[in-house]
Amino acid sequence: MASTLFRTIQIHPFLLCPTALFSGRNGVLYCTMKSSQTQTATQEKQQPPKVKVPQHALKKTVDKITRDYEAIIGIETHVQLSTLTKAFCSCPYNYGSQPNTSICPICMGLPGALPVLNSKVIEFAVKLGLALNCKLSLNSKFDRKQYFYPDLPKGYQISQFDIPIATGGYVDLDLPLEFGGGHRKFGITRVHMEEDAGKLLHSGNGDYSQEIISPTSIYSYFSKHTVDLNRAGVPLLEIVSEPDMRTGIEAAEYAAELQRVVRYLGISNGNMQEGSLRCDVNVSIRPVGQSEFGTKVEIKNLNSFSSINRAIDFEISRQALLHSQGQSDQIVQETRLWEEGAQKTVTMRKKEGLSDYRYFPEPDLPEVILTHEYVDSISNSLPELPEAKRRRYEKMGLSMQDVLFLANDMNVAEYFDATLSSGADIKLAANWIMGDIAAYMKNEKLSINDIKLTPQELAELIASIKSGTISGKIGKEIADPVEIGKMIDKVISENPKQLEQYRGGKTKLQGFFAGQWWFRFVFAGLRPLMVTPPARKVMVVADPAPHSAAALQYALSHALLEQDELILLHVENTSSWKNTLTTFLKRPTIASAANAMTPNNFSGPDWGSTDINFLDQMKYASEIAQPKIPVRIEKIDPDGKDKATVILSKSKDLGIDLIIIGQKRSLSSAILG
Amino acid sequence: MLSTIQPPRYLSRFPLRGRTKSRPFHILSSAQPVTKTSFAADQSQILSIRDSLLNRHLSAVELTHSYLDRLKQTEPHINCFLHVSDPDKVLKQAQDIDDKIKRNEEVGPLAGVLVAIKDNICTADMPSTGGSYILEGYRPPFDATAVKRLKDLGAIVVGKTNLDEFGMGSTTEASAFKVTANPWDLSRVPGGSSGGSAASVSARQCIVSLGSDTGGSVRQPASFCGVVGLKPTYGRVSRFGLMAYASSLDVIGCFGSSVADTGILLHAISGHDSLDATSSKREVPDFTSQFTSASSLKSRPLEGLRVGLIRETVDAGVDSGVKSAIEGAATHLEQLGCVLKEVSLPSFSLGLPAYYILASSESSSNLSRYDGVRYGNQASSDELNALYEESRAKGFGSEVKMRILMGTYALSAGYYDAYYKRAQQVSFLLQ
Repeated sequence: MASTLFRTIQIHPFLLCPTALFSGRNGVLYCTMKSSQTQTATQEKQQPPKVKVPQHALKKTVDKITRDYEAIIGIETHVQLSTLTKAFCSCPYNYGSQPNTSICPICMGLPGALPVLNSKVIEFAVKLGLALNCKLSLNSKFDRKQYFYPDLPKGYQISQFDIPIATGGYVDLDLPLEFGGGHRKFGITRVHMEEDAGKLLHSGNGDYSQEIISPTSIYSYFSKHTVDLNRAGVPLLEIVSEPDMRTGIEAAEYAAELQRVVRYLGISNGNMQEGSLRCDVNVSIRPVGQSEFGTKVEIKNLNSFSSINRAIDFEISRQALLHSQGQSDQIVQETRLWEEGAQKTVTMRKKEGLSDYRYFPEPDLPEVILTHEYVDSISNSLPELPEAKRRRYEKMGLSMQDVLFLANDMNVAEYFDATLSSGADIKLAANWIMGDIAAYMKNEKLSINDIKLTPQELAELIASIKSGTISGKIGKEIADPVEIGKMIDKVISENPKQLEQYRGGKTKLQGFFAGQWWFRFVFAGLRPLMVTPPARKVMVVADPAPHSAAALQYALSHALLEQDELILLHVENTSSWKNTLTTFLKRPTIASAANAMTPNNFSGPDWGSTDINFLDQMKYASEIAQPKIPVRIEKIDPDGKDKATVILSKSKDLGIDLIIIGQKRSLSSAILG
Repeated sequence: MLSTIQPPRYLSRFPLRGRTKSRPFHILSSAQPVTKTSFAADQSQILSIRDSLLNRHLSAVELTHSYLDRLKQTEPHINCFLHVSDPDKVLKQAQDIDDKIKRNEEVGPLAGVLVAIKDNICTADMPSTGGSYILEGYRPPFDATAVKRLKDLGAIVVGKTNLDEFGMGSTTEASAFKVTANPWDLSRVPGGSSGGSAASVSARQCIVSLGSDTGGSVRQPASFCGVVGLKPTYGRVSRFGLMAYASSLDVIGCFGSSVADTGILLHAISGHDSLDATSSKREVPDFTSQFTSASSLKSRPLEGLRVGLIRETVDAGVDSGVKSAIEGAATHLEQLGCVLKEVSLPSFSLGLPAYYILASSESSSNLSRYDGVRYGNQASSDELNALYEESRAKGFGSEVKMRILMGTYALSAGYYDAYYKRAQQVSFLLQ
């Protein structure tokens, strides 16, 4: 049986991936998890971008109503810059450090302290301004924005008011294919520099004014941790968009593109969960055909791209409903909060007139003067940006799906580019990176930079496989499985540390959201194109666990042929592992299992539900992936026997040709690690 | 002993005739010394102290004792200080200097120089209140750059001097804590806002002092107290550690009993500071090398110098006392050889209104940080806005409140263009 598989490898080098370097012994195929994803704004791991309206019952009506209205969406984005020190002092900033451990007289706003601008802030602002196709102000300045709040130590925020450093730009982006695809261009009104405020830590009763500060000890207040000033003075760039977006998806994709741009530029980690990328969204609607804008509502507390999407769609529906019911006067200028749990927006505060921030030029800082030479030098040092990358990849003949995946992460794109420049075939390199390497990265929670396999080695691997040999660094010409086995042993023995880590259970499952893996290949269209005729019975050991999911994925994408039959074997009942897994795989899902399985929905199955449910889901996924392959579910009670024995005896009974069992430790781990 | 370190007193330039009775403390004032042959010893206390210390004619401890005694004796009458350094600590520093000299080690150019610091300039080891109740007892964790430079050069800080709250005033009466008297006449004010710094030099409680000047707060009290006051060009001295009043106008200035001392002090604190982005990067010339002994001067030492006399300063509407003082100075300059030429500055009258708008606008912003949240006096309140309101209502004096209100108004939407923006245009015009 093993030789059959190796034959297919030689016949179809395109399908080769590190997981094909399995151990053929014992007639059991170990494979890696394959769950890589093109992460776009709409495909975030946790949240299904569903729920457009509060009540499903209203859905149809609201959809109909919303068609009569056009939404106008603008976004204000705050990007926290990853400078080594804060904007105006030499304190470092590290997210998550103990409250008030990274503060000094300057960022605490002590009397007599003065700000001195960190020149990196200007550099980063210029980079972003250029990347967003803006016009730079060669002569800009800082202003003070004044208001009282305990997290604002000086009583004013140093910002830019009437002369921002960059104005009048745009971003280009491509919507994901699942949402109809298409190119969009959204205007950027301005980019300006400012400082972040601290954080209020509402401990206990949330009363920040309780403590009387000992006048002789200025640090005593902070030791109580009511206000955390670590973040105070951290540099931000605020990016204000034109009101060019029309849907939640467009807005989310705009934010995702900004994230890509700042990451490409290396000016921010762009992490929404940490608050390094914060979006406040303004939404108004107007009847289609009307030119005046409606009353705009601001939405805050958007912690992910999918919440941007869902919050906007909810807000549009809410406003449209009010409009259609003749209650448009109830749409008032206000700030609403997105409630993730309830999947709706609620009033946070109504705006009573415009707040007067009494801006005036910051007298403690000189004007910001940019020379043409400076701007040119930065312009020349800019990396290739996401949009340019996408267009280039597109010209190479890659599908938009591939283009979006590869260009999404700068490091992945660099890896891909480096692989290509080492002479690798474009399509093969893309498949490798999007397939096994991405799966490995995801599984091990690594970035592509942590992977040992260099782009040059990958290129060699691809080349050698393509030519039917395996050579290069891995060495030796190998034609038979024994040699491959030896080679794998060699790779493993060369990486004893990694091996130890996997043996020691370092493989983390928590971060792996099993629900998504099988949709991955549905959309990636990764289907084996084998021609080998004889029909086989392929058995996959099915458990509600990621490695089992990976096994199924592997079976569907690499092992199963059209005439084969798939048997999902579940060894029922018993043991603690099931409970363990369900515990950490449990997550809030709003959709029922059936609902979740609809192809245009990215929601995963509910791992908290019963075994039957997951088996059905696996079956269903298999049928979507390989509609022609019959799928059968087999359940067996171990009856006290060892699980492996049970599986083997069952496979004999059923006359199974190939057993595929997922394993936590994958061989590709050993190779890539 | 004092006489050994102080220049002989020739009081001709500051006639005290007829004042003795009503102004019992005139004796405390150090008037401008005049002429002697060697420059160093007789025209600069700082230089003469240095000579005496290095020649072992005097120890730093002796010197310090004499000043501390004088301070202790006079302070109850004048009230220059909001905080006086612990005498033991001061003497310890003096002892260290003596020890160094004994060991023939290098001592700083300001070794043993007793300096008083205006209380709106931060000092790490003592309270710095800015004369405001809202900062009562506040001790900064750092020294202002100017203070740090003085300390690094060997100067010893004797205390923190009284001022109008945050520098807002010109009599030192607007201090939250005490009223300082003019050493020449205890019934009169020392001027302000650096009244404490001027009076302390004048009363010889210290050798030199630092003040701050936003709209005359060094120059005017120096004049009131008969000492030399110098307001440096904006940016010459780092403002780091100076509690901001009007950031675009604030400067730290110097008081001394002679031009030479003031010049030496300025030289010590001048120069770019990486902690103040508005401090000038221009090289600091050695002012002391320009000093010439008055006795070596010709009878008309300023021969050939052309001096403009601004017509608007002596026009109608100017107080007759001011007018005669200016004219007296003009005559004096002419006697020294200057050629005086009357000039007109048409924008002169714009200066004061522009100053008031800019200074109050900036102060309304600069004083926002005194909210009772992080430091200073805090009102007890359960509600945030009440906390702000009460802390600030109780913490600030009426002059400060008035300027905050004026400044807030001038910066408000709808008024900004009419007030702040125009004042700024005037400011550019005058520059």
